[in-house]
Amino acid sequence: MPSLLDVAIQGTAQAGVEHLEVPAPLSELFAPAAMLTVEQRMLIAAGAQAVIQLAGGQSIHCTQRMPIAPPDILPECSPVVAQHLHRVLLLVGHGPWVTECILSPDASHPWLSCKVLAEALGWVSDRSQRLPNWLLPLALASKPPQLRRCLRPVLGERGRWLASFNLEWTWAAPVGTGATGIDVLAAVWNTGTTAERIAALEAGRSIDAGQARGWLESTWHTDPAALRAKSVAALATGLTLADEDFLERALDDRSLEVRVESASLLRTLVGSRFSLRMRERARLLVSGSHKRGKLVLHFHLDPDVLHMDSAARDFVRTSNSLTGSSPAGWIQDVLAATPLAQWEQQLEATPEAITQAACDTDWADALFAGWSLSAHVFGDGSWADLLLPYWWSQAAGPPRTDILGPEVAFIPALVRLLPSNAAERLALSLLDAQEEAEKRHLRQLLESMPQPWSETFGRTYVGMLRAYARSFVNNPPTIGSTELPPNTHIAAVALPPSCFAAALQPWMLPEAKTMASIAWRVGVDALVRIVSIRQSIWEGLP
Amino acid sequence: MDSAPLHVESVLALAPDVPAAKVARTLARVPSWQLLGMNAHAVWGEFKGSTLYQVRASIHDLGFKCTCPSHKQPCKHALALLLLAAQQGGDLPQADPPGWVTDWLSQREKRAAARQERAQASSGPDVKAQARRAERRKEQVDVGLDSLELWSQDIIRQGLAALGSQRKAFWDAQAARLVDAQAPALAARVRRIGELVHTSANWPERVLAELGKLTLLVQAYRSIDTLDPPLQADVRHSIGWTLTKEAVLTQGDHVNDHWLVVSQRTYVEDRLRVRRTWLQGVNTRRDALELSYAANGATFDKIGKPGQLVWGTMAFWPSACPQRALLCDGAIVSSSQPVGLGGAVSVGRFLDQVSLKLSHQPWLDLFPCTLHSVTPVRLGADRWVIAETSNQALPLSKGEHWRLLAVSGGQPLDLAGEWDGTSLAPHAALIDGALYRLIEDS
Repeated sequence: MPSLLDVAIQGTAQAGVEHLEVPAPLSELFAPAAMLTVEQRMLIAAGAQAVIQLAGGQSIHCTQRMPIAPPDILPECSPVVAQHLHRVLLLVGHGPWVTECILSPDASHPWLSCKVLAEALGWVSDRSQRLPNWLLPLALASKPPQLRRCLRPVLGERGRWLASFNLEWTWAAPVGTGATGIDVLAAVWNTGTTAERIAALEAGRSIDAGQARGWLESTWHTDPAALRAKSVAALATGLTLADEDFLERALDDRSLEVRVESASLLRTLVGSRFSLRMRERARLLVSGSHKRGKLVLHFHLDPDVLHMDSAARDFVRTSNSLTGSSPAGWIQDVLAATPLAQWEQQLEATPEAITQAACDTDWADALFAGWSLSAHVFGDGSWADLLLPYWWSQAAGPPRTDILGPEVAFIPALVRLLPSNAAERLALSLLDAQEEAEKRHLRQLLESMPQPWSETFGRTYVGMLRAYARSFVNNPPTIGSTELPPNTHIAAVALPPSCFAAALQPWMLPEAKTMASIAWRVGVDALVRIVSIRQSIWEGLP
Repeated sequence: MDSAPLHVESVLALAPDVPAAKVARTLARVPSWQLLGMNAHAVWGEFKGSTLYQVRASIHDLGFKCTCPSHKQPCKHALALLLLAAQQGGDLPQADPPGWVTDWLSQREKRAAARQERAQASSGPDVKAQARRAERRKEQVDVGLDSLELWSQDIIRQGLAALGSQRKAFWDAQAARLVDAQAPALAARVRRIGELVHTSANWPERVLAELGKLTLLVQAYRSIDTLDPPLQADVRHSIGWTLTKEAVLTQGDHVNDHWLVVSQRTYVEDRLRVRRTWLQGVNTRRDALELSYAANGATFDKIGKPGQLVWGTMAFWPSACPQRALLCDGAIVSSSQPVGLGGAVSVGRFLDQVSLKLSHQPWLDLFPCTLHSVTPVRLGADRWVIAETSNQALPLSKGEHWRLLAVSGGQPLDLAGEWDGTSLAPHAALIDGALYRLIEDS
C-alpha cells in the first residue's frame, strides 16, 4: 500500500485513489466525519500524524565529544572593551577602500573599522589580555591579513583550540593539531575545494615546508593553471632555498600566471640562481662614469648579454604589466631583483648621485620603477626619500598613459619604508600645502606613514585643522574656494592617545550653508566619533 | 496594593540614560530637598533648581510627576526622589501629603479606574453593534475557510510535486484571500508553508504536515463550541482573532514572580521591528514569551536584557498551554548579575514536557527549552548536537554553532533555546554564573 506521502506527492487524481485506508489510531479521527472527501481525510491524517510525531519526539544517541579546551592563562579584556571590539568586528570588511572613505567619511566604514580594530587589538595584547570566548568565532572569521596578525596574540588558548576545528581558521590554530594536523591537511589537499587546498597548503608549509611542497608536486600535472598559480604563491610561507629547484621548474610552466608567481618568489630568495643571474645582468646592464664630478649612467641593452642563457624564463611578465617585454621591462626586472646596495658599490656613487643621474636618462621610469620594487622586495627604505619625489613629480605632470598606476602602486610602498620621523618631517613640510599636487602627496603620505603618529605631529595636525575651521566660521568655504577637511578620516585612526583630548575639544565649525561647509562638518564629526570610540577602548583597558 | 521592595538598582534601571542616573545620584541628598515626605503610597518633595520643582512618585509602581521642563522621563528630580526613598526608606519624614500630591494621587486613581472600566466594558458601549460586527466577521472567516479547504484539497488532488513549479504568487494569492476574510494568522501560516518548498530534501513531507495541521485547525474551528474555552482561545488566535492589551489583562492568568530574561532576539518582519523575549519564572518555573513590535523607529517597552531579572506580574494570553504573555505595569527590571537557569532539565524530561504541551495545544510549533549540563558536539559541517552525560542528545538547528562551542570549551553547560520539533536553536548558555547570548540581532 503506498504511503500517505507517496499519494500526496503524486496527487490523488494521478494515483486514482478514491478511498484512504489509514491505520489506528488515525482511523478513529474519521468515524464521526464520514462525509469527508479523500483529500480531506488525507490532510487530517497528515496533520494528526505530524502532531503525533512531534509529541513522540525521541532524543538521539551520541557518544562523541569535543576535546576539552586547555586552560587560559591570560585574563579576558573588560566587557566594555569587548563590546566595542564586537561592534567594530561586525563592521570590518575586506579591503582598504580609501577612495570611498574620502568621499563618505563615516565612522562605520570598513577601512576605518579595520584600522581601529587592529590598533585596539594591539592595546589588548600589550596588556597581556585576550578576547572573551564568546567573541572568538567572529574574530576568527576575519579575513584581512593585517587584522589576523593583530588577532593572533589575543586569541588565547581557547581561540587556538577553537580554530583547530575549522579549516577556514587554520591561520590561528596551533600548528599540527586537530584540523591542522599534517595528515589531515594532506587529506584536505587531496580532496578539498580550491580554497581549502590552498589553506591546507599554507598550513602545511608552516609545519613541514618540504612535505607540503611534495603534495603540490604530486598533483602538479593534473591541477588547473589557476590553482597551480595560487599554490606557488602559497609557497611564500616557509620559503627557503630548498624550494628553488621546484620554482625554477615552475618558471618553465605553460601558464603565464604560474611563471609570474615563481619569478616573484625567486626574486625574494636571496642566494638563488635566479637572484644571481639577475645581479649579474645588473652588473652588465648599467655602468657609470664621472664627468666633471657628475655621474653619468650608461646602458648596455644588448639582448644577447641581457638574456644570457635563461632570459625567456627570467623576464616573465603579466600581460597587463607596465612596460611589457621591452628594454624598459628588462631594466625594471633586473633592478627589481637587485639589492639597492649593489648600485652604490657598482657605480661608486651615493644614492643621491645615482637617482639624480637616472633622471637625466631616457630610462628614468624603468630605473625608478625597478629601484622602487627592489626597495619593496628587500624591505630597504634607505632610498625611499629619494625615490618618492620622482613619482610625485610624475603625478604632477600631464597624465601618463604608459605608466598608469605607478603613482598609486609605488608611493604607499615607499612611504611605508620611510622611518616614521622622516615621513612625518616630509608630511610637516606639506601640511599647509596649497597646490593640488602637494595636497595629494600629503594625503598619500598620511595614508601610508607609520601609525599612530607622534604626539608632536598629531598636535600640529589638530592645531592646523582647528585653525582652518576657525577661519571658515565667518567665511564659509565653498567648493572651489577651498577643499574638504584635510584628511580627517586618516587622522581619526592615526592620532595617538595623547592627542585624543585635543581632538575632542569642542570645534568651531562653519554653519552648514554650503556643500563645502557641510562636508567640513561631516568630516570633523567623523573624526570626533572615531576618536571617541578609540578613547573609550583606550580608557576601558586597565 | 502589594509592591515590590524599592531598591536603588530598580530605580536606576528606570533612568533614560547613564548621565541622568549619574546626576540623580548627586541630587539624592536630603539637604537638597524641601518638604520631603513619605507615606504608604507616595514620596514627595520640592527641589530648588532654576525654580522650585514639585516632585512626587508612587512607591507602588514608581509612577512619577515633576514640574520641571525636562523631556527626559523620568527626569533627574524624580529619579533622585525615588533614590532617596530607596536609600533612606523609613528615615524620611512620615507625613500627610500636601494638596499637590493628594490631587495627583487621586487623579491617578481616577485614570486607573477609568482604564479598568474601559477594559471591562470594552464590549459594553454598543453590544448590538459589536455582535453584528462579530457575526459579520464570522461569516467572512467561514467563507475564507471554505476557500482554504478547497485550495488545500486541490493541492492534494494535483499532487505536492506540482508545487515545485509554483511561483510565490500562488501562495500569496491564497494568503491575500485569507486576509480579506479576516483570518490573518492563517494567511501567515499559508505564506510560511510556501516558503518551505525546495528548502530541504524532505520539503514535500513538511508541506504535507503543515497543510494537515492547517486542516485540523479548520476542522477545530468548525466545531469550536465543543472545545474547552482555553482551546477555543487558541483556535481563534490561530485563525487571526487578536486580543487587546486590556483584554489580556482582564482575561488572562496573572502570574507574579521574579522573571529571568532567558533569551531575546530582535528582527524585522513586515517592516516592523519585532522583539522576541523568553522569560522564566524563578519560583513558578513558568515560561513566558513576550512579543513586542515597534514601527518607525519607536522604542520597545523596557523588559530587560538576557540574564537580568524582572520583578513583576505577567499576564498570559488565554490558552490551553499559555506561553505568550505581557508584562504588567509596575514591573521592575533589575540590573543585578545573572542568576542560574533554574528550570533546566534533562533531554528526556524536556521531550516529555513537549508531549504534554502538545496534548493540550496541538498547534504549538515552538517550545522553550532549558537543558541542564549538556555539551555541544560538532559531528560535521552544519551538523551539531547537544549531548548530556547519559549520551542522550538533541540535534541543533541547521548552521554552525561556533559561539556555543567557544563558550563551552568542550565542557558541559546549561543551555536555553527554542525547540521546533526537529532541532534546537540555542539562544543562551549559562557558564559559571554568566549568561552568554548565542544569537545576534538581525
